[in-house]
Amino acid sequence: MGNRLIIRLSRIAVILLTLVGLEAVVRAGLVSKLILSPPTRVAVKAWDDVRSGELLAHLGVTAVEFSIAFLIALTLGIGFGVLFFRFRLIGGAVEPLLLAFFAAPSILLYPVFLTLFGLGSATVVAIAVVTGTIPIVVNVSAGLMGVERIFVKLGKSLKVTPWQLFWKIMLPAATPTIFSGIRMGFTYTFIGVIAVEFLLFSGGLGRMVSWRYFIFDTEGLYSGVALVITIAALVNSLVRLAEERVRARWT
Amino acid sequence: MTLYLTRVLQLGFLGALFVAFMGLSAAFPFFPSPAKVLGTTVTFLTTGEIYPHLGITLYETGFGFALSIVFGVAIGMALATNRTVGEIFEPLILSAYAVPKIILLPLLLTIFGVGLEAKVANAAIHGIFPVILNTVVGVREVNRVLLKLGRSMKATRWQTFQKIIFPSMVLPVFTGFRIAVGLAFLGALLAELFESKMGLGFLVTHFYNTAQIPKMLAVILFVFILTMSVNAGMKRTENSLSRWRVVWTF
Amino acid sequence: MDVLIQVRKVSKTFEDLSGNTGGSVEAIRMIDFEVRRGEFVSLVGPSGCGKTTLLDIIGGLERPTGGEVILEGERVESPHPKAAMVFQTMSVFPWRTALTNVEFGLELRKVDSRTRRNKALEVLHLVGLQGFEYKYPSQLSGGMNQRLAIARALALDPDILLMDEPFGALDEQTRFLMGLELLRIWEATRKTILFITHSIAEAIQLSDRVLVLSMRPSVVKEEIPIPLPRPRTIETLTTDACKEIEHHIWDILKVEALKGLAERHGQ
Repeated sequence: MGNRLIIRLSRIAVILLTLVGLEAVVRAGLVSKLILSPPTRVAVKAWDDVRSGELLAHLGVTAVEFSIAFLIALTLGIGFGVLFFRFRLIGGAVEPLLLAFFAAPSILLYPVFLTLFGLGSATVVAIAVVTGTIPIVVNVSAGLMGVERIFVKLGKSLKVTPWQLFWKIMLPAATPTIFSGIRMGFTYTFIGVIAVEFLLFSGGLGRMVSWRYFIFDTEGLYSGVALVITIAALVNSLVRLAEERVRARWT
Repeated sequence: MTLYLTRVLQLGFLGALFVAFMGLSAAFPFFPSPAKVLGTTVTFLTTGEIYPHLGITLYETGFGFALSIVFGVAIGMALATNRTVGEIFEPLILSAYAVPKIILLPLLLTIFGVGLEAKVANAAIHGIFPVILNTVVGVREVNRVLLKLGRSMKATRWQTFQKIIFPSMVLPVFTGFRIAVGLAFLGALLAELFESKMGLGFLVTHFYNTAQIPKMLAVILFVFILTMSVNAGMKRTENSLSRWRVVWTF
Repeated sequence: MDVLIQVRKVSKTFEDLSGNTGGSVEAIRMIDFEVRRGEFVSLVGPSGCGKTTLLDIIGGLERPTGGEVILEGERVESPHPKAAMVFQTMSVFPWRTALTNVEFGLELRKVDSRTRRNKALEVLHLVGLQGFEYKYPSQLSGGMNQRLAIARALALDPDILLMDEPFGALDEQTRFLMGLELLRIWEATRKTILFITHSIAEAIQLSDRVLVLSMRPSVVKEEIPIPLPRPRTIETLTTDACKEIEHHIWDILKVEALKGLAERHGQ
């Protein structure tokens, strides 16, 4: 246990040392203030952003867009995942196409939705849904397919109805994989939202950062980036914690 | 028989997409028909309008990819071989994966200016993470019994690395490279979309701003086809490397 | 006949470094025995009695807490060049052909490629894998892969073979046949073999002597000579004399195996 504490402290120490180093480099004049803002001032600006409610305003927009996108992604993802599992012929045909598509930069599709929905949250949500649905679909279908044959055999020997088979055996058995997919869907939906907000200046955290870049507000820029990173990391660790809980109960 | 059926279904699926696309263009007048988009793509390739931009983007991607594999493998190996270093930094790297790296783009532009360097850097940052993670996995997953065998035959450290660890790593690291190529490409494109005067990403914004929608869609289509082909090709290579697959049972 | 392996009062206690189970584990309390040149000796014991640890110590991969191992007159501090190990789990390199797998040890010793190749072909022939030189392990069956592991060990011309349940992952029939194969190779090469197994039948089938180990912390409970005539065939292995030995060993092991079961339930 003591070992874990030392590791944690070392990690914090490394981060602090880096920040101190950056601070020193700027204060010493080695790097221009226009390029690198000293961490202390970034911290102050960040705190200002939080206090002034500006962060909250942008965060609110992002949160709303994200929630809608994620909900849609979940529905579509689980829906199609189950569909592709149930009808293996279709699933086996379409899934490789989806995976090939996933390897491509789907964010690049945003102009398409831009022409359809115009500048606004709808476009953001659309892209986020596209990027976030695929990992869910693939994992739901793979998870259900990966259920040990022996469990299915056992169920059938106990004469369960197809409904019971699905809800009481297959779904619980597939949960760890499905949950992994949901976590990935979460991450990719979030990335999609921020990316499109950023590129389109359409509001939310992404816009906050790109806007500050364009008005040459270097301190604000670093503050914004730091805040987004912090929020992303926080949310991500929460989701990972949830996943760990699920995995612990299932193994 | 099933393979035939699968291909038929896939063609059917693509056909359905095509039809949906047609419907879309009928509903939205400014949205070109798929036929027009395809035609434009072909024109692009033949007139050579696209090639200088393609070259720039490929250059950025290639350079960024190279950086990401060099540093990615080095960092990955450092994390995997040194336990303390690994325990300290790995969670940081895992969290970084979930952060939208596009948010770092303005920082890169501020530091490197508006030239190619920032795009290369962005591509590298996007590509480095899968390389790191897959390298770590590759080193960690070396079969313990193989290491034990090496020890029992008094293999030196270098021999152990060269003849046991390295071959075990080939497949996972190559997978990492495959994912990294796609991400590096994405990184370069995103940087071009945001702030650039050349490149495929620039073309997309340019055509959008000048209301040349068919050309814009053609570029996007081209990017997709390019990415998916390279990915498929690399996957095929991966599959043929299966004799390096170390995970197996009696 | 000279003594090749001397295990003198070996003990092994593992210090628990993770701080979880609170304390150390005494795997081996006191093991003391000898193996003479050309003998085939089996170590039988319940699961978890430290057989693998013992073999690792003899093979120079682990240091004993107390006592020492003498191989061919030399104290063992690291893997002895004249002793080769064969492991239970799959230990052949999947990315090398059968031939290059066998050459591995010779490669490490920087033997030139022509000598390596000839030796490897010779050994592959000896274990009955001629014709499979250029196949990959994934193309070979489990039994063939273990023969490959044995061939790789033999390529180094060891005097001693240390085998840790090499046939443990094979099905019973293959196991029996592999045992016969091993005896054939042993008779052709006259190596000294120390063989770990938890199968009494296998120990009796193969060995000159069987050492029965107790549950952890282990000691040698009894040393049982197997006077059955060689070659050991189905006939010799179903005689009353053989059954008697088997019962005897089982009686000893039963007590120890039950102790092991109780301990696991207690945990």
